[in-house]
Amino acid sequence: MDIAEKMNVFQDAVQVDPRVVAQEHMMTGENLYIPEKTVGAPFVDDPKMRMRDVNVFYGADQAIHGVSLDIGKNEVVALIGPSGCGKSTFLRCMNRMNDTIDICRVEGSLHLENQDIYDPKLDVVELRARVGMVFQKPNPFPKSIYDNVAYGPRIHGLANRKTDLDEIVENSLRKAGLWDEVKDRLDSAGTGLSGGQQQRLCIARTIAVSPEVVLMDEPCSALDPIATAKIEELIRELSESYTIAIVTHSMQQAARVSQRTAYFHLGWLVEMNDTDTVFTKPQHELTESYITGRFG
Amino acid sequence: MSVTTEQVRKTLARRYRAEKRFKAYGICAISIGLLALLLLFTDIIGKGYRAFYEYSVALQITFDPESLEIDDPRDLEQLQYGNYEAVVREALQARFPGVEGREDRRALAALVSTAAGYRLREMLENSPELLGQTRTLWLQLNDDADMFLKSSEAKRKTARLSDQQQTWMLELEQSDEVRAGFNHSLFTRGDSREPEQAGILGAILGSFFTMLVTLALSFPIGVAAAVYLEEFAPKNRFTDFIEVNINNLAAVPSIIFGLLGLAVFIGLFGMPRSVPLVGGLVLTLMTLPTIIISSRAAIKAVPPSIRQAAMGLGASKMQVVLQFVLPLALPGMLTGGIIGMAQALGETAPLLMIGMVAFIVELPAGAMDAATVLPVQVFLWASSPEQSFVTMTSAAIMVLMTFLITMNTMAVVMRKRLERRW
Repeated sequence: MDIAEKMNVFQDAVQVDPRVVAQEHMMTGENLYIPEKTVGAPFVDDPKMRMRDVNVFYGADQAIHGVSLDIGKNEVVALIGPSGCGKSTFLRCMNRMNDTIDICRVEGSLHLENQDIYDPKLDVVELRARVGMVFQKPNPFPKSIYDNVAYGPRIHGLANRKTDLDEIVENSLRKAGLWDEVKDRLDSAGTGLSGGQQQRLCIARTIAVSPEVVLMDEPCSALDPIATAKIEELIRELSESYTIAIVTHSMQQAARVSQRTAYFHLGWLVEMNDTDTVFTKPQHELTESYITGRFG
Repeated sequence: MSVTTEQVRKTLARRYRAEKRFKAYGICAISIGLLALLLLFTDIIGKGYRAFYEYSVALQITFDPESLEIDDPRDLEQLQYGNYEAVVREALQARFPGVEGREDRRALAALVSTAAGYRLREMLENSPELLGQTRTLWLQLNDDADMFLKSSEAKRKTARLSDQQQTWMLELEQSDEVRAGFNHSLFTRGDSREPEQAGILGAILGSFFTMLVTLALSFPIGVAAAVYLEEFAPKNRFTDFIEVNINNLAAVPSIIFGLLGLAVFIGLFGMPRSVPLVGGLVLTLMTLPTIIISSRAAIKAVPPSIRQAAMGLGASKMQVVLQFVLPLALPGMLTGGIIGMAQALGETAPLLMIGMVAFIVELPAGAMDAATVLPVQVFLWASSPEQSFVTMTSAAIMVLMTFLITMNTMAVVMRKRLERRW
């Protein structure tokens, strides 16, 4: 095969099957193909959220390729995978945060129980009250701690009286494990807290509107190990009352907090299964390569 | 010693030299800037400080009914036509008894400002019992006599006073019958043909009303345009086109806005000439792009994490903008607004076009009264031939600069104080 021929083959590959390109990107040199169909058990009975054949495009680039998975009630699902694999993009589809990006286009069906998330008639405000989000970098509002937590209930009119609001704020801060640390200075600025406290404040702010699902986009990536441990403990407690989807870079974290784990690779969902199974008996070579640290 | 270390040491001296050279360039540039500023200020202050005080002369004024041609000081008509100058003239002749002949007497009378007559009338109106009495009064000198006293020995020879007048002034000065006092009329009167009676209050009020109109229009419109363009406008060719044209608008020479104002506001809409309302409208057009551009920059600087946090909680677009973006962007917007206002305050060219360059003596009472503004007043006085107007020009510039520096300082202080960290 001369060089011109090779180029042709390569270009054909680019145009015809992006998965071959995916393989070109791999650092291992092993002959690993992304499977046609997700390996493992991506579906559960009676799910809280049901996603089928989700494709996401940024302009002409496709970021998510036909992902189908379920998130069960009161379960913690971890989305893992190397950088740029689309896990955050997928997470942000679940409460339509991608709407704000003009060039972003979402295809497929996404349901929260029986509600089509991308139904044009659905008000995105209502959706986001049901599906809350915690971001990578702690982003408290430049307001007092109290106002940070009270913001959501206020805009949705969840509390009519000051005492009701006080109660919501206290409960949310208690659930986020922050009450004892801040109860004496609720009027001081939320931005004056430490990084870990700020992130717990953001979690308190999210659960103050009593969402059904909480989406977490690498909530610990900006935190030190002790703050991380606190947040992880918090996630386990929260899973008793909320359904949680968490994107994480740390496989240990996924193993510690989640019941089920989904492994994304270059926009494809390669494997999804019980967390134990994914980490002890991965069924796909790509998953195995990733969790054993051969690339990432 | 490794090869690398050796190599590093060799180049080190050169690198430090380059750094020192670079620093020297910077210090040079700043020094030139400061020097220019210093030169400007010393020149203006050196010329202008004399306008802030004025000389008056002590005269024995007798409110003689015959000379005044007034027998009843309560009769307003008589008061209005009273011959006050005759009284002043008599007082001067009493002080210098040897002066004979029409020419000489006229030269003597010319030493005192015509404003003295107005003052006597005012006194008589307020206290009619003065009629027939004699008082020692400090009366304002004419601008030439005033300038003569303000000048140094060497410059007095070139003063616009005749030799005889100079002798009289020297005599008054030696016997302490003249004194310097604060120039009240500078801050309490409008323009005048007589320099000693001219003031900048008219121009200050004109500037104030013009700025009021400009601020009331350009800030809300500019902020609204910036918010719409940043937050709500779809990104397409049309909005790109708008953006390019806003930047074009910022580059349009200001006199063009004056021509536009003349054609549209005065020609088409039939608004009156020379009024602060039209001036404000024209300056609004001129400052709009500045405010829009700085407001957009301020909105862009609001961290996206704050928007995402609010949207993630289910805040609507409107709530995100009103509760987070605007409060966080406000310091930047205000800074842009104040700088735009300062720009408008110093603007002359477009206002010449809409007739705010007229000679107006009355103080404007509102945005619909004919008025002039500070920089135009500077322009008017600078083109007047009287020697005193040269110092008045510098004084007006000093006042204008004080306002501009205050506004710019306010912008800096506001940015420092309102700036929030997140």
